[in-house]
Amino acid sequence: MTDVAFIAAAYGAAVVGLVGYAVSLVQRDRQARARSAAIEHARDRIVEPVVPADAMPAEEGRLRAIER
Amino acid sequence: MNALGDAVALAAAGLRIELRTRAAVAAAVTLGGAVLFLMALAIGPDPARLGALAPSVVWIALAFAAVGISDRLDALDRVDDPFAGLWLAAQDRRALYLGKLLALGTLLVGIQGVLWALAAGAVCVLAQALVGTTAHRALLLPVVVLPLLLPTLLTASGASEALLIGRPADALGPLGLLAVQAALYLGLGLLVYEAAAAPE
Amino acid sequence: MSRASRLLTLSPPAWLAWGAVVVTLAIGLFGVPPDRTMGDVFRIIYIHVPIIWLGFLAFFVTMVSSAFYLRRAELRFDRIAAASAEIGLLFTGLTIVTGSIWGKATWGVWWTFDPRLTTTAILFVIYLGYVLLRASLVDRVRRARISAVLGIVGFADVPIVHFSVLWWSGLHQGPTVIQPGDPTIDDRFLAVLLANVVAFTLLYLWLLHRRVALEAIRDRAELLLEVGA
Repeated sequence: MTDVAFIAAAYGAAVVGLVGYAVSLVQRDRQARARSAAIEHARDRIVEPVVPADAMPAEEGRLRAIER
Repeated sequence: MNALGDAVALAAAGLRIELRTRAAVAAAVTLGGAVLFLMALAIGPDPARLGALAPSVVWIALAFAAVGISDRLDALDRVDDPFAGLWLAAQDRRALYLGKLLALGTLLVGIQGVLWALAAGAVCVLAQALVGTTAHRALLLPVVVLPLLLPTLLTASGASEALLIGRPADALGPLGLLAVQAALYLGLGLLVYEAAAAPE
Repeated sequence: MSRASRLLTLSPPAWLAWGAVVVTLAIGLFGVPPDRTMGDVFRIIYIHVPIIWLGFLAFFVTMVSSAFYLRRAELRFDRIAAASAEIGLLFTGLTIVTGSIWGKATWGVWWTFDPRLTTTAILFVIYLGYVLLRASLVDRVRRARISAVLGIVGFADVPIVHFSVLWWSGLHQGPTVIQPGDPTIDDRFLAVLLANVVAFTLLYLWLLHRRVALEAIRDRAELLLEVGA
């Protein structure tokens, strides 16, 4: 192996490692944010159920019970 | 009862159980023997090579045996969780660390020498506390213990080598280093054991 | 937010961190002459040494942050400790790889039980244990506490590892080979090396900041799940 090849290998390995890690960080960050948003959304739906405008009184009562 | 008294009582209890069941020694012999056998196979039949590598191989086997003994001793505290009771009852929780170390150390000394017993014991007891009852503790224990024990292995192996080839003066350096390691691990263990072992 | 944790999460902007690394590495590759004895291969020093330095710095930060966690029980210290340990593991791994390549170039072997290589390898396995142990612990507070203990013990082990390996390898190796990073280094080379160290430190801070932020988002999600349940 020539000197250039060794240098390329060393620098290449380091760059691949560092850039690869940074990219994985960005990906994991995106996944975590998506998951967090999904959890929040699901939680909000349970706390505040969507009541249709033309809901019948019986259904409304049942929905209120769930809320409580 | 003071901390030291607690520690001795705990150690005595552990050793009494071990005397009755001999589980730890069995683990040591099995594990250590297996490692010895496998390594001898790997090195090959050449007597010169075997002779040169013998001290290192023996210490590696002893390291694995120490992990095995430590695991068996600790398992006693996990059945029906008497450890929780010990934790609540102890006035100075470092006594728990010392007690376990005394029990393990005594067993290790039987085979493996005082300084090594102290250093290896110190690391093992702390590692057991860290690994605790996690899902993969069988795998995690050696992963945590062995890298920390490697320096101790190297020095202990070097000391034995010097003694074996009849140059005891050369053993003084590594023995000194071993003493420093034992003191440091013991000190660290006493400092952080409570944080490591608190039951959740 | 306490002064300590604020200090540890200062982040340079991405363009500065990455830009600095690119510039200083370029200077190392093209801006200085080759070494008289080692030739061009010596240039590997400009990437190898800063990476070793950052690895040690990262583990040191883990130790300090772990100590802070044990004293104050604030989860942000655990986040910093864990993030820094992961980054330290990356840097240590890269140290071994670049060191191995340099070793092949100068000594003709990919690996030797040279004290520095051996110490670095042991350090790598210690912190690999840290990451694995952490991954196996489910309870948030227990994970923080156990990690903190190992974070402190792991780094405290560094001088022990260093001295035992130094002693042991001195016993077994023949005459010493010329070590990479000979202290009698030319002033120009030293300047470039230091510039690289500064650049990589900026990069470390940027990576740390992003990793801690990731940990914080995950913690929040876990908390939401607990509260919602």
